[in-house]
Amino acid sequence: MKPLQTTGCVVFFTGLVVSICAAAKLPADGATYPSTWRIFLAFSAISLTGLVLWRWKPRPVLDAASDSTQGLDQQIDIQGTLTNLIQQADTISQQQPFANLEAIDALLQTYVLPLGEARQQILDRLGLKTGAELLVTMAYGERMYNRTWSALADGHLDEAHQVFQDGTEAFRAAAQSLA
Amino acid sequence: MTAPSAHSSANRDNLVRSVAPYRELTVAGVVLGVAQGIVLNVAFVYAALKLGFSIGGSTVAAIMGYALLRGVLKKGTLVENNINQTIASGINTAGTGVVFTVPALFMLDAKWRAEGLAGLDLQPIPLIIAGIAGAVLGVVVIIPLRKQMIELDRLRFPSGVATATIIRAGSSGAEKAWLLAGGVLISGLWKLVMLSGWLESDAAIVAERGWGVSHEEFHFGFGILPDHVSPVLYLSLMNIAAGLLAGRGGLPFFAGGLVAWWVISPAAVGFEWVAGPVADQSGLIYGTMLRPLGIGVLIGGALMGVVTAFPAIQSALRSLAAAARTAGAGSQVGGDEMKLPTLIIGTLAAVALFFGASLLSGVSFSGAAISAVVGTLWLGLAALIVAQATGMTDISPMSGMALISVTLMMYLLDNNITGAMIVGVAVCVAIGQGADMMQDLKTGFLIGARPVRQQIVQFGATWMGPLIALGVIYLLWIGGPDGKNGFGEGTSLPAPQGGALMGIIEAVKSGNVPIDKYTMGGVIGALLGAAPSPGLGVLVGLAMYLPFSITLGYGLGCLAQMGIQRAKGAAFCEHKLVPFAAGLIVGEALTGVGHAGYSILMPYLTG
Repeated sequence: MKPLQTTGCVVFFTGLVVSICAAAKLPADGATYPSTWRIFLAFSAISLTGLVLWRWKPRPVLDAASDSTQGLDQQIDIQGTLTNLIQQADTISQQQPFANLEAIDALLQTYVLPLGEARQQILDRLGLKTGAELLVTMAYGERMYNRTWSALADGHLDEAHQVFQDGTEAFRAAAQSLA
Repeated sequence: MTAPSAHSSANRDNLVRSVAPYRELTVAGVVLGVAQGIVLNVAFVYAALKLGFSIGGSTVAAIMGYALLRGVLKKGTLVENNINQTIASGINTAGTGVVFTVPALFMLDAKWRAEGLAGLDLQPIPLIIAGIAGAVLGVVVIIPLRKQMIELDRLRFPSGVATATIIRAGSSGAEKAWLLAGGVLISGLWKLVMLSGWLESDAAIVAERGWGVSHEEFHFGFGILPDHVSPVLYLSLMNIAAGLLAGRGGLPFFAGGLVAWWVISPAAVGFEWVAGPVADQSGLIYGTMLRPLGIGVLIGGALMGVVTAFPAIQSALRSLAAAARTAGAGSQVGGDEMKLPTLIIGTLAAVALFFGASLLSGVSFSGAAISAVVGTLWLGLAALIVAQATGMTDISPMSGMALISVTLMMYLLDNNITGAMIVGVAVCVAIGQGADMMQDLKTGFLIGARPVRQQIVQFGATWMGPLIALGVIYLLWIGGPDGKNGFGEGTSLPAPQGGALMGIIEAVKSGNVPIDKYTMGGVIGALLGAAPSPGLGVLVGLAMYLPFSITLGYGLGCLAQMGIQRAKGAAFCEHKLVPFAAGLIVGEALTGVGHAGYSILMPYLTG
C-alpha cells in the first residue's frame, strides 16, 4: 500500500471508530438524535476523507512515445496463434500413447488462454455478432480441451482422445472463419 | 463460420458406443449430491441462524464428493464430482435465501403477540411454494446467460474457480472422509455434552465468582474484567470451525465485535451514557445501543453493496442486451444447453406458483397478480445483478436485495407483510440459485463438464432446498420453550439477518423504531461498504448485532487458521483443516436439529 493510501486507511478507521462511538449514545427524552450528533457528523466526514484517500488511484502517466494500444489489452496475432494451436494439437493427437496432462496444460496455457484473453480485440475487429460466434466456438474448443485434461486425469484415454479431436475441430472452424 | 464437421460428430457417436462410458451424470453422483445437499442445507441453515451469514457449500461438497466417489466407491471421475457438487450446492444455497428472510416472520409474530398485538397469519404452504418458485426461476432466468457470462465476458467467478481447483487436485479421498467423520463425531459429542448440562453452573454462582459455564457460554471475567467488555466465549465448535474455514477473510467480522465490546461499550460506561445498576449495564448497552446500531450498519452496508455493484449492474444489462443479439452464437458447436422450450415452461410454471403462493397468503387477486409480475421481473433482474456481481467479485449483495424486495413489495401491497415476504423469500432464493448456478457452470467449464447435464440436475433438485430449510427453521422454532422462540434474541441462535429484516418491517409498518441508530448506523455501514475491502459493512454490522461470545469464538477460529497456515502451509489447510472444520459444523448442526426434533417428540413418546 502506498503512503497516501496508508494514511487514508488510518484516517478512515480512526474517524469511523469515533463516529460509531458518538452514534451509540442514546437520545435524551423527546429528542430523535443523541447530543453527540455533531461529533458523529464531523468524524464521519473525516472518515469519508480517509476513504477518498484510501481509494485514490493516480492516473497512469502515458509516455507520448508509447503505443496507445499497448497496456491493459495486449494485442495478439489471433490467426497465427490459432494456426500454431492447431499444428500443435495435430501433433499431440498423433502421439502414441496419447497426450499427457502436461501437454494439454501447455496447449491451454500457451495458445488457448491467450485467445480467450483477446476477447475484446476479437469483438472490436469482427463486431459483436460474428465475434461472439467465434468466441463461443473457441470456448467450446477450450471446454473440450479441459474435458480432455479431466478424462486423462481419470485414466479414460478413449474419452480424452475423442473430446480432444472435438476441441481441435472447433479451433479449426474458428481459424477457417477468420481466413 | 464452419462448425466442427458432421464427420467428427459421427465419429464421436461411434466412440461413445464403443467404449466404456466416461462417468458424468450417474446415479451415484446424483444420490450423493442430494444426500450432501440435504446435510449441508440443514447444517448451514443452523449456522446462518447462529452467525448471520452462510458458508459456501461447493468446496465442501467437492472435497467430500471426491472422498466418497473415489475414496469409497473407487470409480468417481472429475466431471461426476462436478455433478455431485452442483446438486449439493444447489440444494444448500436455496436454504440461504430462506434463512435470511423467513425467521423475521416467526420473530415478528412472537414479538407482536407478546406485546398483546395481533400476530401474523403464518402459513407454511405459501412460503414453501414461493421458495420453490424462486428456486426454479433463479435457475431458468440465468441459464440463457451462460454463454454470455462465461464464454464471452469470461467473468472470473472466484469461488467457481476455487471449486474447480479442488476438484482437479482431488486425491487422498478416504483420508478426507475420515477427517470429516472425525469432525462430525467430535462436534456432535461436544454438543451433546453442552445439551446435557454437565458442565453448567448456576448463573448466579458464575456471576459471583466471575468464571464458569452458563447457558453453553464460558465466562472468563475472573472478577477482573468487567461485564461490559463481555468476557464470554460461546462453547460452540461450529463457531470456531466457521472461523477456521474463513481464516484471514473473517477478521473484519471479529474486528467489528472487538470495536463494539472493547471500544464502544467501555466508552458508554466511561462517559456515563448508561444509567442503572452495574449488573444491568451490559444488557442495556447491547439492547439499546449495539444491537440497533448493528442493524443500521448492516442495512447501510447491504445497500452500499448494491451501489458498489453498479458496474456489475451495468455489465449485467449489457450482457442481457448482448445475449439477445448473440443468442444463436455457437448453436452448432455448443448444443450442450438446456432447450428454450423447457426454460419457458419452467418460467411459466414458476410464475404460476408465485401467483398461487401470493393468493394463498391472503393477498387479493390483483395483489397476487402484482406480486407475480413485478416479483418475477424484479427477481430476474436481481438474479442477473447478483450473478454478475458474484462473477466479478465473489461478493453477493443478497441481504441488500432482500431488504429492497421486502420494502418494495410492502409499499406495493399496502403493508401486507406476509405478501411482501412471499416475494422476499422467492427473490432471495432465486438470486442465490442464479449465482450458484453460474459458479457451478464456471467450475464445469474449467473441468470440461457438459453444461446441459449440470442444468438438468440443478433444475431437478433445486426445489428441495427451500423445503428442507423451511422444515429446519420450523423445527428449530417450535423446539424452543413452549413450542416457540427456538431462535432469535436471547437464544443460542440469534438469527441476525432475520432480526435486521424484522427491524425494517417494523420501521415501515409502525415508525416506532430507534431512528437515530438506524440512520447513523446506516451512514457508518455505507462508509464501510464503500471501503476497498468488499462486504465490510455487512460483516461489521452482523458482528455488532451478535453477542460477543459468538464473535469471539469465530475470531479465535480465524486466528487459529492463520497460525496453522503459517506453520503447516496452505495445502495442509485445504486438505486437512477444511474437511475437519466442515465436519465440526455438520456435527453440531445435526445434533442441534436432532435435539430440537427430540424435544418436540419427547412429550408424545413419554405419553
